[in-house]
Amino acid sequence: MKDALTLVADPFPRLVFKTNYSGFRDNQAKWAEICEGIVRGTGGHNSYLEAGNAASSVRNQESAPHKLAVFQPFYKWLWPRVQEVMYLQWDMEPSIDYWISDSWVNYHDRGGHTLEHTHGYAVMAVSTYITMPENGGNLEVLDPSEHFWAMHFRGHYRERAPSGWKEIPVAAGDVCMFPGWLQHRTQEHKGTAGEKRWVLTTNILNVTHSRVGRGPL
Amino acid sequence: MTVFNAPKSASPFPNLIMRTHYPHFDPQRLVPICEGLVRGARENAYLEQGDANSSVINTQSMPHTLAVFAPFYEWLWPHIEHVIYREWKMDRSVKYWINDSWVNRHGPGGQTTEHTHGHAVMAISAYIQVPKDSGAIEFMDPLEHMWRMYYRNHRPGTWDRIGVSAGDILMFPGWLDHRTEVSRAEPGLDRWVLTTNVFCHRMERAASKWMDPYVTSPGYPKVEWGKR
Repeated sequence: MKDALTLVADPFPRLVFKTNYSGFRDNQAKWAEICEGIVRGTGGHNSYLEAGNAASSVRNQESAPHKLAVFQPFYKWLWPRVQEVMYLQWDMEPSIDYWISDSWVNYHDRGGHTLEHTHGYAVMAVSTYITMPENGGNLEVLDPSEHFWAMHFRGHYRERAPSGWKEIPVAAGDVCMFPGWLQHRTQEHKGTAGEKRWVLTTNILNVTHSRVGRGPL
Repeated sequence: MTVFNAPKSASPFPNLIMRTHYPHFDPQRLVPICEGLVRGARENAYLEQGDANSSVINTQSMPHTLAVFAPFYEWLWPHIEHVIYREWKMDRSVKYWINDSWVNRHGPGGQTTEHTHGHAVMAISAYIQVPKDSGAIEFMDPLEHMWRMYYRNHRPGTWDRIGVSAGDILMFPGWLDHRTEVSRAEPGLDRWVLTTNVFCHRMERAASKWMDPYVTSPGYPKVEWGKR
């Protein structure tokens, strides 16, 4: 049976999009150093989502990457691609204002990973892989329709039974875009200690909220 | 607006609706047979509205059990397996079979209203005859509730339309909400659709009044535990 005989006819929006940015390829040591500085700016306040040998700059929004001049070429390149997905693929209302609300960098060294989470009401979450060592761990997203499929037997006990978690292979420069409500996590970094995976995360929002006090994220 | 190196879909989730085409339906031969199947149903299905009929009640003469449809089902089965095993990653050690099938007729003004096929692994719509303007099939995005937090041009509650032609075959999970558009074909022109359910679970009905809408049933059938 050739694949071409049955064609996909889904009229529903695709959830995960991927493109590639070449601007981080050169001088990876410089980018790693910049990211280290942003993480140091948290004063040691890590995110509870980071497990093992991992840290996040999510608490350091004063020096969020999208506010720094050094990342401007990336964000200038990114924005039309964000619009392409939001308007053409997801059919978002173009009369509403969308903006980058927050951004941060994460590193995962050997044994490190980011736990399962969503980005709440963010219209789009964007994961950009600044560095990606061998066996640095891929992105995983949870099928939001998994509860429908659960009524049937899938996979086989002799094989790895398919769970709702699906792997998206990523390489340095890859940019993954998905709705903020999509549950995701990273695989554990199983590469060489000292070779960090650096990920730049960006949220696109169209609403604001205020925090009461300065509670933990 | 399309940018260089535009983002491409990287969704790793199963595709829900698959389409193929069977070029050998002969409406001149099949429509009289379909009319006979509908006549054999003692009542219509409550999902059919307007000028519409279904043979779904006629379980004595289901299309997949008739010799005249055998070439179609022989052609169809590898396509079913392809989608079930390769697209949806279903367990190969479980038995799958065609459980039931029926035909629907939609004259001008006729339609099938919103429904699912319950625990069917796959529902298949095969279009035997599709006159001009006789309506498309429509699906509800099962993730629509997730998108509702945003403002979209695709308004909440909007159905997604898939246009169909004679010979088109659509395969989708039984749990996916769908319906047909109202036929706006010329008078005397009927759309004929052959529907097939693929099962892996066996179900038995306790009531003699098969397919009665639950809301209008005089009462729930008495459950006798342990009796099969």
